[in-house]
Amino acid sequence: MSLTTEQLLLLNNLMYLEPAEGPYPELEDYAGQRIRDWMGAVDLSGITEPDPDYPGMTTAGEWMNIVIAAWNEPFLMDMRILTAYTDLSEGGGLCKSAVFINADSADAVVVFKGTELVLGSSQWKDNFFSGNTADTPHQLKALEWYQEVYRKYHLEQFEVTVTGHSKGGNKAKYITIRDRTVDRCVSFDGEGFSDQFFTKYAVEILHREKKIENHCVDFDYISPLLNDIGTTTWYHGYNYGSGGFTENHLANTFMHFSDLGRFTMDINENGRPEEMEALDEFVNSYLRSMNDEERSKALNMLNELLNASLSVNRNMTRDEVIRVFLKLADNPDNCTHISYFLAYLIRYEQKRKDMTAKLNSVLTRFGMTGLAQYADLVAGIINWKKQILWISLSFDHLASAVSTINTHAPKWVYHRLSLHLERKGMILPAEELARLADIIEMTDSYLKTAAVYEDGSDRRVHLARPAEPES
Amino acid sequence: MNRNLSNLEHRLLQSVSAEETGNHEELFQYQEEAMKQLRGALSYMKSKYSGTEIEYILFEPLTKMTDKGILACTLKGSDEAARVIIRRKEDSYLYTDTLYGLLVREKYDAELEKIISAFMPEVRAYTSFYTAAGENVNRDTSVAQLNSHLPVLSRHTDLAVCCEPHVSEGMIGKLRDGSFYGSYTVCNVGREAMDAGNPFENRAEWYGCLTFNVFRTPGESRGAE
Repeated sequence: MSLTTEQLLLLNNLMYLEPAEGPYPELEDYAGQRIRDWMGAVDLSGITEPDPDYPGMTTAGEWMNIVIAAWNEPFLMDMRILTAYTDLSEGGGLCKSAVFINADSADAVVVFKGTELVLGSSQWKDNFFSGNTADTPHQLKALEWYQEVYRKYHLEQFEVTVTGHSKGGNKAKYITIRDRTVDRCVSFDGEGFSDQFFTKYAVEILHREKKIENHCVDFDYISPLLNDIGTTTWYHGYNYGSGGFTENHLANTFMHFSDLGRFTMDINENGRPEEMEALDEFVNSYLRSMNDEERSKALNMLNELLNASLSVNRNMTRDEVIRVFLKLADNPDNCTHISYFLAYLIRYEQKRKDMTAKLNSVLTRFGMTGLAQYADLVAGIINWKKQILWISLSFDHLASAVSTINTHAPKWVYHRLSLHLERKGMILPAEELARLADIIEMTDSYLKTAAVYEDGSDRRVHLARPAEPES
Repeated sequence: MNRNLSNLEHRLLQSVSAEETGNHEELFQYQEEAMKQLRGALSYMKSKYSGTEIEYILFEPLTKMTDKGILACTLKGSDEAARVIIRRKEDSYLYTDTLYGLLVREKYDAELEKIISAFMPEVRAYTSFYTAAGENVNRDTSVAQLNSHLPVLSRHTDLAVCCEPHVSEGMIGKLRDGSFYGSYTVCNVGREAMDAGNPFENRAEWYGCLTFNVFRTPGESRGAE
């Protein structure tokens, strides 16, 4: 018997039980025992919020539901924990993985937990890094570990399912493509792969893609990234709490609890929302418009921008977002890529009129209202038009004017401008104004050359003739 | 505040891409925030465990997308990871950690073995503590204090014996009387392993061993309110 999607989802959730924060036993201590022994060591009466003033994104109540739901799955409870591992090596990121088996049904499930902190800074850094490479260090380590346990525990006697959530899902898919011994792969909100991955592993993808199932919350924002492989089913999300929209990426968001310990996964019959579809296509299109070196720098810039936008304890205002952009632009590479990004966004918007509105919708859902206001500002500048008598002015004219000032005007012009803006309630020191002018000038220059890469859809592998079956 | 980054800070701030940054003027606000958390955590650990050699493995800051930050560490020469948990507390941060468990293990296991040896002779215990605790739980905390701490400090104990493992109500009663709460796994490791002095060496091969739990009665485990 193969485990159901719900059972695999439960296993993935259990991998996130954090012993430091509640009466949750460490999985590694139960290697060799059954899941029921592991769950039996959870003192249910001790499940409380670590800090009630600041509840976690997965609350104590939700953990209680998850643990009891596991108890309601006798097949799962009887599975044995063959091995569990935490990668303490340099660069290992404390990533956790485990193998569960049922000898009677000959099922083996290899589970990869997402990063130590789901949505932690390392995860984002790796997400952006993977946009420009076929194989990341984390993926390679996961493959190495999988092949080691496959050999050591003779998993050839089992039907092997590889599964994971978030980064874990990405690793599961990666291993499935790289290693033919996987029988089935079930990924929950796992991100996709770069174009380079598709090029490098086209033959393997062709043969093994059919083993892969993606299950994604409809408003998840990680799984749309890059190109995906396998089939995808979209679900409604539940259990939103202190993290708001951010929680679309949590493993328990799939779970619709109707009673204590009883849940369903509710398919969204409409599939993925159009805003997320638009974001996916834009990101693909934008990344494909650059060569490898440019793409690497652009991804670095986006990573820094995202980090800067996610500051602790407060929502950045529009003016603060502008300051972040300008500070990022201190680095000449960033300055170039900010300008290119703006130019590409403008050109993309001109071809697909509703792009900025959709991007704005996603940002607002994220609670990143400062960035959404900035996007509004950019859209306003893009669409700026002014009629003075018989002269029609637009962004091109504005950019030319800025270029002229930048090239010919003495520095005191910026100081005067800065004072003028301050009187209008906008704080922008002269140095930052000058940098803004650089960006506008560079954006204008890119506007003359930037060409929208038309195809933003996920890559697919096709062969002109039927593939030979794998021997 | 000293804004120049030390080598350790450089390494640990890789998650926020500050590994090549020289000083504060080059840091973005989110990197400064991460540095503040990291320095707070390092200072907390230095104060709590002064004189102890700690190696730091990785750092993930608390951001708008996470509900905590983590600084992972271990004792020099050990391969067991401990964690410092960083949480939001009004305008500042609250630090708790699990490193104390590695430092109290010896005295805790010694007392545990005294109790269990009355029921299963020649027992060796190996306990891992998991609940993150603040400054009030450190290497000098007595076993009695560990056991009476609220909320309960969750822990797991491996018991290596040289006989057929058995768990009696009497033994559980004694453990509960002494507040030795937690989950337990008992394994007959054999004479050779016991005599060699390393009964936990093949812990990863402990398949199908006996497990049992000693919980506080419901309602008490939540701790002082």
